[in-house]
Amino acid sequence: MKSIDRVLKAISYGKPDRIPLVHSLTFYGAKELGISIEDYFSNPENVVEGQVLMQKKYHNDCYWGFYYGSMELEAFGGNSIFFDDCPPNAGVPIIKSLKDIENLKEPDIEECIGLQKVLQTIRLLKQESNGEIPILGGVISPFSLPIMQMGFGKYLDLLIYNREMFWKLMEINKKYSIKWANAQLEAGATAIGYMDPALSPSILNKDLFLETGWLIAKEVIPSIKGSTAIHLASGIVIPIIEEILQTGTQIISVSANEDIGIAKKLAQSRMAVMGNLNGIEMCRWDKADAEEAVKDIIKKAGKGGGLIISDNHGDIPFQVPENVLLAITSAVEKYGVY
Amino acid sequence: MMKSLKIQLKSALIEFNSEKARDILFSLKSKNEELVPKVIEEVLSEIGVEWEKGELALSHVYMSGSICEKIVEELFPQNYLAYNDYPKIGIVTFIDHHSLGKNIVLSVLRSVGIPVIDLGQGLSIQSLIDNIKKERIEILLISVLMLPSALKIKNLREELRKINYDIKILVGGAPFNFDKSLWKIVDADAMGCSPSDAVSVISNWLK
Repeated sequence: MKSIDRVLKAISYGKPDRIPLVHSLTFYGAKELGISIEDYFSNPENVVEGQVLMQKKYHNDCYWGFYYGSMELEAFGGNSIFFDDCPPNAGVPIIKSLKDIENLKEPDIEECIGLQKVLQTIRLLKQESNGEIPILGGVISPFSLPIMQMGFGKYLDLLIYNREMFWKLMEINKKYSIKWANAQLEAGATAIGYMDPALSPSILNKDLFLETGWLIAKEVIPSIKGSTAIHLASGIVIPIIEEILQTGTQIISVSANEDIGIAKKLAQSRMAVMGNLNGIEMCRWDKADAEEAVKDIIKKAGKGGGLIISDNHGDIPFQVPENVLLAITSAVEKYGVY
Repeated sequence: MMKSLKIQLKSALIEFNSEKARDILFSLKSKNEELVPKVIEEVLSEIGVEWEKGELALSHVYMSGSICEKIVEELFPQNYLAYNDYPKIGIVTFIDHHSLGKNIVLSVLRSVGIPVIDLGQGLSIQSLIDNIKKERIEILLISVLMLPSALKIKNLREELRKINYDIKILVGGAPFNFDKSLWKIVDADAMGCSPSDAVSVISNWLK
């Protein structure tokens, strides 16, 4: 079965040949090509080469068009700080005072060099995939973008104490995020990862969630003209799963700190679950550990479709050995057959 | 009385009601000044434990520490941080640039009267060692978000050993919460699962 059919069948709670596997191989491609992460993301052709090689090696059921989160801060005029062995961090916040929110302009996607590289990558991956392998794009949600735009602490202060300015910022971010997600779909992305770590109950109390991030997700997700997966980047989801269902997303990530079987049961055939391998512990797994972890997920959530096996953070660390990724693949192919 | 007061303070903090929290702590100070840090410590610890269990959110932990720190600055404008004779304690966001965790721990420690030197964020091994030596740090609290930053703590420890610098290292942050044995692998002396654990670990080390 082709990867595209496998994934589509699984998210509609049908039975593909086996459970789809989505290793979050984003900046890991630099390791595959033996170049620095900064060099890797400097040229769409590098990313395409890395994605194609990794898809073949690990039998990944997708290509990743997504680069790294702080690229979206770059779109707003900020910068990224690159490292040798982990994803870039966001540089200095671009919003230092409330006045900066008043003056903030929505980025013009056409003029953002970084975003254009992503679109070019997606176009090239579309040619490579020949319609057989899903291409995942990604957008940092309007609600989580301010963590980079102004710093986490200051953002929480704004969210709690100055709702008027918060909504002003959200108006700009929402317009940008919808356009950015749809531009990726137009370029050939099959689905969009809606990265929203701030939405998780690990981060945000439910009252605030209901008054803010949830309303935004309910507005933005339906405006994205394609399939979406809400990704909470390791954060828990079970306490808000009913509300997540109401956003209309097709897929939700599940944390390694929660039971994926319970999450799937609560999703009640209306939304597929994705997860929940522990990407940190994975660094020191051996083959047996990988096999056990995969078997555990399948036991809890494999029955009847609706499951994509993946790590829980959305980025496989450089420190995860290749043989562990291969062992995960092998276990999914052995135990995940329907 | 103490129990009811703690319940009221906790309730005010998780509702982000700084005025109510302020009234409670000002009233407590007028009755028994020395109880203020004790009550704050116990309440912030409870909030931290409930966050670990997934019953409260990071927004609660952050705001509780931030509110308490501001109230304490008002209550004890000059000498609150000199209550006890503490060793030199430093805190840093090591290598990476995600400083929320560090700032929360800083707020919690300052709220309970433990003086801490903020060594900053994004520090490399060498710049951190330079700062440790300059400030004569005896207890180092390291906050990280990225796994590679966590793993480099082991290199930091090795470099400190090479120069015979004796120091206690307490670590915390997401990688440690997702791999409970990681703190041992990186050769730390202890880990904190929540920001308020810093208070109990430091207190134990000082016994």
